[in-house]
Amino acid sequence: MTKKRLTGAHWRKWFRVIHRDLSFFFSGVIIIYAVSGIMLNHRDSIDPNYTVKRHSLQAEGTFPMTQEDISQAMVMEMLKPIHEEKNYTKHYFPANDKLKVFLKGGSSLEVDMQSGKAVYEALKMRPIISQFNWLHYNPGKGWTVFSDIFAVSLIIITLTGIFINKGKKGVLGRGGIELLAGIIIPILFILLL
Amino acid sequence: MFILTLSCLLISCNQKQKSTPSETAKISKTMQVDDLLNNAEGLVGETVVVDGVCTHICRHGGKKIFLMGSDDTQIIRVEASDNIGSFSQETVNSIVEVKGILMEQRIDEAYLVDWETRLAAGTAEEHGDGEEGCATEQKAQNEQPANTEQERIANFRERIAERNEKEGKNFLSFYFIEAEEYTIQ
Repeated sequence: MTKKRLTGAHWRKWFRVIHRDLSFFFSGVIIIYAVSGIMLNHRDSIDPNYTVKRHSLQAEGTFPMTQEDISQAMVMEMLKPIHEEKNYTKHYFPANDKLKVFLKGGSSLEVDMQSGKAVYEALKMRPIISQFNWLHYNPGKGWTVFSDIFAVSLIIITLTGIFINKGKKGVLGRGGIELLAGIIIPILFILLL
Repeated sequence: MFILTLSCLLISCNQKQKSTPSETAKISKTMQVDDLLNNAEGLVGETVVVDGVCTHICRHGGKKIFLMGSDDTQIIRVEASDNIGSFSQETVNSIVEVKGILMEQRIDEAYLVDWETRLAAGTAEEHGDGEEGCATEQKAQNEQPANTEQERIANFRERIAERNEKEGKNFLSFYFIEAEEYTIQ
């Protein structure tokens, strides 16, 4: 029986197979982390999970009112025009003349009890992206295990990708220059910031 | 087949974090946030069940939520254990029941010196939307509004000195729950 010599071409073939199959398998997760990564990078300027709209309105009732005048039934009446009466969670008085109502889903209503002027902050969860963010934040042990496997696979995808091509476009040619340039950028950030 | 098995395993791992309200109720009587804070000193280290309105979820990973009692002077911080990972965004403005261990965080001179050292070295953990830190967390600790971390440290020093003078204790105690389970009601 003759021993088969492991040539560069042989290794490159296997690198291509591993690189291709892992890339296909983890494509969805890469998109999840990339999209949520952009949202979370900008979380100070954009709420990554909700769209927020503020509406000024006049609350139902006769104003001024005191805390003693406000009952839960009255709060429910205030919520009817904004169709949030089914989402009532709780109300309280952050100041003597202020009423705040918490609404399921994240929205809230704040009423000035002197004038009845109210601000309805309507929150709507961003579909899909909020779920991506939740996964990015690591929702539990199972996801930790899966994302560890994903992280190791990313390393494998990267290393196999580096060695798939040979020649001018490979790591010893243009690919190598691009590789170095990509490494220099984070190093500069570490050194200069 | 491998992928299917792996998926089932991972999903089953993730299902440990939530329980039904009736399951939680069987373990212990549910307390209100006000009662818990009033009796916190004697309950440190014990498993408690508490419910309240979640007024805020930490935007820095969803690892913390804040439950409010009768008003915004009665707020307790709840931290997610490894079992939970991070809280769902749906907790915000909902009544959330939490089961977990009540913990005490002490802030004393050594803590403040360590904080100052980390600030000077630029290794202090950033939390919240700006340098002043998370406003809800500060409210939960009855802190005065502060624009910088240094100002917060100075305010803590002042409060420690006041407490030492009044009660002979040279530290501040803040209580939080390390949550093992939670349910949104």
